[in-house]
Amino acid sequence: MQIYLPIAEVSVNILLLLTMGAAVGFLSGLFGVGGGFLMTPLLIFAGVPPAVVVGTSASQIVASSVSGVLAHWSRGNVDFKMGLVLLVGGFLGSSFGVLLFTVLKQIGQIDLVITLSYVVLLSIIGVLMLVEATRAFLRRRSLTAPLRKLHQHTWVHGLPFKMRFRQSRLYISALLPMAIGFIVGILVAIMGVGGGFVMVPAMIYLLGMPTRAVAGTSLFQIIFVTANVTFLQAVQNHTVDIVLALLLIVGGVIGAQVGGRMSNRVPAEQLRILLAVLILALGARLAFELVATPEDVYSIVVEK
Amino acid sequence: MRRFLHRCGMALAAWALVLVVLPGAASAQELLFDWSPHRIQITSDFTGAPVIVFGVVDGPGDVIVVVRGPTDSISVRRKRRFAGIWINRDEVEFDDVPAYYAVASSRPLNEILSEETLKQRQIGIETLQLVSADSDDDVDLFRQALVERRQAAGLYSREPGSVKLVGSQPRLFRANFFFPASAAVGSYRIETILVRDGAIAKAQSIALPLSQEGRVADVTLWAHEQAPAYGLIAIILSLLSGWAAHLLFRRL
Repeated sequence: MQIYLPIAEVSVNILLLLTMGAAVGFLSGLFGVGGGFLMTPLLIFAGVPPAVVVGTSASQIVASSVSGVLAHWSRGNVDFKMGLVLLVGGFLGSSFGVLLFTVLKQIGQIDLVITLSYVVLLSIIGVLMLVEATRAFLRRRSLTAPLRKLHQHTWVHGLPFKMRFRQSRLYISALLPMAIGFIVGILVAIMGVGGGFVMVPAMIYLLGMPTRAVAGTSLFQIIFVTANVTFLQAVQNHTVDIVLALLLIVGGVIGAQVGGRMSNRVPAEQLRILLAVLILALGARLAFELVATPEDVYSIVVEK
Repeated sequence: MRRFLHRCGMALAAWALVLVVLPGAASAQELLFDWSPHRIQITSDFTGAPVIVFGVVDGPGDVIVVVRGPTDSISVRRKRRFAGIWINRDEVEFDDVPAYYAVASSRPLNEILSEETLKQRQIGIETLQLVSADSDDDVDLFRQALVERRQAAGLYSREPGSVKLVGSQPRLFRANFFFPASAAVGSYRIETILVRDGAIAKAQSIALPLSQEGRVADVTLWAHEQAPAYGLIAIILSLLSGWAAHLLFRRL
């Protein structure tokens, strides 16, 4: 069954969209990742124009983050103060990102930048996940829990504008979370992702936040940053397709819930290794597209 | 498809009726035509639309039908390898490029009209005048690439289609066209030309609107006319569906 998407101006199979939403939602529920980085390439592959994909993904991520953050909130795992500081950077970064997106679109390099960003990020995340999950897998086998220092002092703690984050038990410079928020905000605008996969490691390793507060806090600020991107993309580029967003949300929400339930029952490390391999394969595929001689060196764009 | 055949059948039957009931009507005009459907409506189940152009010719001659879409400026970009990866490096912009171009004729075009006339009236895909203000050495290559992309998308006809002429005087004709789902919205023009002895005896043209209708049109209009409100609604919808999902699945 085909459905004509008003903003994308293409006709796409409705079942394909629902299935894609459900599959990505399932993976995100299973692994606790946002899934935007899988959704964007899939939608482009399905024939939706990249600009519309990025604008619409943002609104879909709003929905999945809300349902995620509510679950974390009820368990008291959201550090709102930290979330707000991240958000300041996130707002600036995503607004700058939408502007950058518009300029890149005009000079015809947006597709290249999207693909390049994906290659770089997918490679880094894939490798990190693979290493981390393999270690965890081996560690569990040897049954020796590693000792981790509670607190380490680095150059980070020398920065000015220090703030106390009671819930995360941190006393650090507000500049650092703002900078992280800024960088992730740019990624949200340009790549159509929530940015959790960059935010979460940065919060753990750079800020030193306790792991249990990380996911909820990251989701909390993602809601507002992706909402900002949705708004700006709708106003500036007219690239938010409500019909497409709703279809993805329906599939994604169901998939995420099923995935979330499954995640307690499956061996986590092996699955994480599998996801890492999947991410690396996707990255390699995109990298190949950049390097290989294209089938068609010409492309046409309607100047509106 | 069945609906289309049905529609065509109805249209032809209507014309047959006109000819039988009003035998004088056709002879008063050398060329009369109509088309079906009169407007193309893009609704949420739109996957492309066939259009039939049909009519009646009194006297001898050949018939050519040309359908042109609304015009836009088009940028054609070419990738080149740079530092190992393929990047858009060259760009040529063409003005007044029709979004759709298809032609049908009762005999091969070059047997009906002289090359000059074809060129002057822009009849036939190779006569399309795609003008660029840019001075790239390869403008011709870019122009060719543009036409090929459009042909691959089904927006420009590769070969002229056929105009079928039936009956003796007066004769009925019909030609079939297809608008793919990617056809741009706007005003299309159907031009029918009657050619006698290598010269254009009569030409008529008429507008065929292709527009989004119903829910699809509402969404598009809304997204462009009231972009801030549209953006806010998109956010609110997402927030609500996220919340609803949380409530729904917490109970399960």
